[in-house]
Parts: sequence; structure tokens; C-alpha cells
Amino acid sequence: MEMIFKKNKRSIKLTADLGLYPLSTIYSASYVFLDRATIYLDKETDNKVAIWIFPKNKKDNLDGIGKDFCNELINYAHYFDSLKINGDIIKILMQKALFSAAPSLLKEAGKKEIEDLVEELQNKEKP
Amino acid sequence: MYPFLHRSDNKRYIKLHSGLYKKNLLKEIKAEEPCYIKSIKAHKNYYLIDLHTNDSKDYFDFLDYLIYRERSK
Repeated sequence: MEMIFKKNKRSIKLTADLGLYPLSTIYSASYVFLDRATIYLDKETDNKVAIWIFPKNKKDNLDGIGKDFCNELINYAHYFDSLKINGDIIKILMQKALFSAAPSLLKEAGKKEIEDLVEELQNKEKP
Repeated sequence: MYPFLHRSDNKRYIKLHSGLYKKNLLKEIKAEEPCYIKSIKAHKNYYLIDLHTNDSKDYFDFLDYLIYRERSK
């Protein structure tokens, strides 16, 4: 993968691979930059997005802002990845915290889980 | 000319790729703030947005607003 930088007088353009930086990651990084720059997205190819960055402060260094944006992309790519990996653990911890406050919820959740398991087994047994 | 502008019939439109900007969001914005978007046209893989303004500062504000709305969902 390469991040290609192209510079004009007033803007800088990066090219990002959607396979590495999904649209949600690009939007998240763009949102963080709202106070510094206007971001415009365009498709270069099926898998590549052109990210145009127009700094709001004309004195801003274009290379610097481009590199900062790349850092934000990596930041959010890592964040969403971690969320995926740790999602189940976070869910268990949240459930523990909630059920300790309301034990009746635990009984209902346990009953539902058993019902789902029984249904799953019944479906497996069917030819 | 800015890369997000498209000229046609002596008018300037903001062009937004349909794979990157959702039509539902654009329709929502048009419904909620009719003073912003005049019309939305489909053209090849793009939506062409006619705004109630020709000021380039407003074009930038609109692009900012799209990012804000998309991320706020």
C-alpha cells in the first residue's frame, strides 16, 4: 500500500486503499480534522479513495497536515480493529456490571440463552 | 477549479461520488434545510448537488457539514 501525496497551492491530496482504511476510518479521521481543514472524498479506482484536504488556515504547512491526517487514519484503523477484537470481552464486562445491579435481568438472560441453545440443537438435529 | 465542482449548463454543482456519500443523507439534509440544497441530480457515478449559493466558502461549509452528519450517525 502507498499513500500518495499530491500538492497544489491550496490543497493536498492523499490516496488511500479501502482495503486498509475502510470508509468508516476515513470519515472518523476527517471528522477530527473539521476544525483544521475541509475534507473532500472522491473515488480514484474501485479500491482507492482520493482524500482532498483544504486547510482552513492558509498558513498551515500542507505536508504537515497531510502527515497528521495519515496519523489519524492509522489511529482510527487501530481503534476499530481493537474494538472488533475486544468487542466480546467488553460485552461480557458490561453484562456483569449491569447484572450485578439487577440480578433478575441475569435470570431472564440465562433463560433466553438456554432457549436459544435448545433451538440451535433442535435445528442441528433436523435432517 | 476545485475538484469537487462540476460545471454544466452555466451552473456549478458539487459532485459527490455515490459510493462515498449516501443519497439518504443528502435527501435528509435537503428535507431538513431546504435553504441549503436546491436539487440533487444523479450523473454517472456521482450526485450533482445544486446549492442555493455560489460562494466557495459555502461549498466548503457544505462539505464540512457532510462529514459532520456522516460521522454523527
